Amino acid sequence: MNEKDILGRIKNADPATDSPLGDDLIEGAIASGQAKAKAARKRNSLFAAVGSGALAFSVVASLTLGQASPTGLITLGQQQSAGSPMASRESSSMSSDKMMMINPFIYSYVAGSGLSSETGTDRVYKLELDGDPDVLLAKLMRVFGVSGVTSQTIDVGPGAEGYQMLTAGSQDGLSKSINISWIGSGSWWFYDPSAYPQSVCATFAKADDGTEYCSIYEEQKPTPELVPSVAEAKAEAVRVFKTIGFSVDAKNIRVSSDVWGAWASASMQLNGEDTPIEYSISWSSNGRLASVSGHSAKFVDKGEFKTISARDAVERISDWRYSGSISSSDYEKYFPQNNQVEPYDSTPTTKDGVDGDASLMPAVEPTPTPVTIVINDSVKTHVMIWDAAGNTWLVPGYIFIGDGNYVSPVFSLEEGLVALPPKQ
Amino acid sequence: MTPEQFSEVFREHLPALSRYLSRRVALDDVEDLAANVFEIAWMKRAQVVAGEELPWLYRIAAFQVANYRRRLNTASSFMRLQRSVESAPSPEALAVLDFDLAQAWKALTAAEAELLALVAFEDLPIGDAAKVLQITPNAASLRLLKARKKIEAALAEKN
Repeated sequence: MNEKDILGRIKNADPATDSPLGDDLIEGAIASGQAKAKAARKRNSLFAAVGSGALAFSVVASLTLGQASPTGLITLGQQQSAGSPMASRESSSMSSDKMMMINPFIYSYVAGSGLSSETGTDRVYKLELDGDPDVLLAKLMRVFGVSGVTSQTIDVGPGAEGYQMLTAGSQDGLSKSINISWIGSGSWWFYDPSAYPQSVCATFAKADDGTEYCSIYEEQKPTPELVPSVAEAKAEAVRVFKTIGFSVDAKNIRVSSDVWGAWASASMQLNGEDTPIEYSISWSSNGRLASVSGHSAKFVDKGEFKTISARDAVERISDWRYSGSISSSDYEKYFPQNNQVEPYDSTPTTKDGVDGDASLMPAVEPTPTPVTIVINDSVKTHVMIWDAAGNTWLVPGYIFIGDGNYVSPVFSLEEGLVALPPKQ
Repeated sequence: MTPEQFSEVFREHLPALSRYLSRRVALDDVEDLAANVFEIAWMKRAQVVAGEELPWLYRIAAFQVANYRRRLNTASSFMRLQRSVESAPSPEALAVLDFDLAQAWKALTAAEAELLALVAFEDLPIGDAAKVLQITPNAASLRLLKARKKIEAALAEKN
């Protein structure tokens, strides 16, 4: 197949959809940009005039118990629900153009008799960036032996004020690199694709233009003897995490492995409890360090706020805007059956076994089956959410236990504290 | 550049940007992301080189798509973080029209997929695609050749 054929075939598979955008979108963007620039100038002048201490006081004062600021404590963006991937899977309000996400079931949730009607209060925490991104990058480069010119810092712009992506090392995806996302929890990750066994060519072929290329690669054989054991992975994870400034006990490290590699992770803790903010490390099938990820943030207590009862919170389960993420340890504790990973079968099933058979696409959209899930029990926790500006928050919430099903955790802050995005 | 001039210059790129985003994010989110892209473009308008507006918009859009995907995933999951920095169309997006090609697409690295998408879907000359990715035209050519060979090999194996 020549180059034109290949490009032609790719063009024919273009997934683009015409989604006409009005000219007013540009005018709106300009107006919004001008407003933000004005706000930034005003904020800077305020800092200059009264100093950050005075400003901090005014923020704290507005966040005392039960006193929501007029605009809410947190403003969520459209992607808030994504904190829980399962939530989107269970959402019954998918738009019709997301054909690949058609759900065969419509779930409704009912509060069981055991659920409490008691309201309460709980604390809200915001993750605030800790340290200097350039210092962090230099440290990570030193620890992981990443060399090469540090690429320019990318400031995405006033739409995401202060958001910087810093990268170092390989930019071609072939060897070690480090990325720092200086927003929210200040997540960073080190990745070394060269840690994985390289493919060896078994058969070469020639293209029409005479270029030689590999048409068949040798099958890779696993080398389980090189993969770290659970004990080795824990010990190494403790050592690496400590080197980069994250101290954790080996007993709090989760490890999983197979013949193709090993993975370990540990949660940042808040008041002795695991949070969804995690550090991770992985090794390739030949036992080499392949990746490490972490964060550069601290929890800042934003005050105590009123929460709704578990019984009242049940109606939030069906609304993706209230969903939040829970820690891996909570997930394993309360939804153990969901940890069973089924082997992925990439073979398309068609009625006559022919790939790409048109019968793969249903002629008529299937009618979803209604399913009612009774919520029998709840557990108070803190769930992670992101606000519209990309900040990470830990807010009070509930894990619900319902008929052995995974039920999306929701936050339990009183209405009005969180400014929700429009419900689509 | 005045708002009027900005609007004049960038209006013609609305359809291209719309299609770029629709290949990469849910349709419902195209308008929001496009608004973000133009807002950032307006704020950074002093940086754009005349004649290179579209590649420049694509570069801003790529960051927006990466951020969008990052938020769609659990921020604490490393594997998802790795995936989220990509901005190329996913194999699943291509599978609707060409299942075999979608399978072959999986053989590409994120960087290769993004380059191939810019050339095949966005119809950019290799020089402009290189500008979007902030690499040299030579590196882009080599990467494109490698990507094409990978696709060819994967399709040949399938056949």
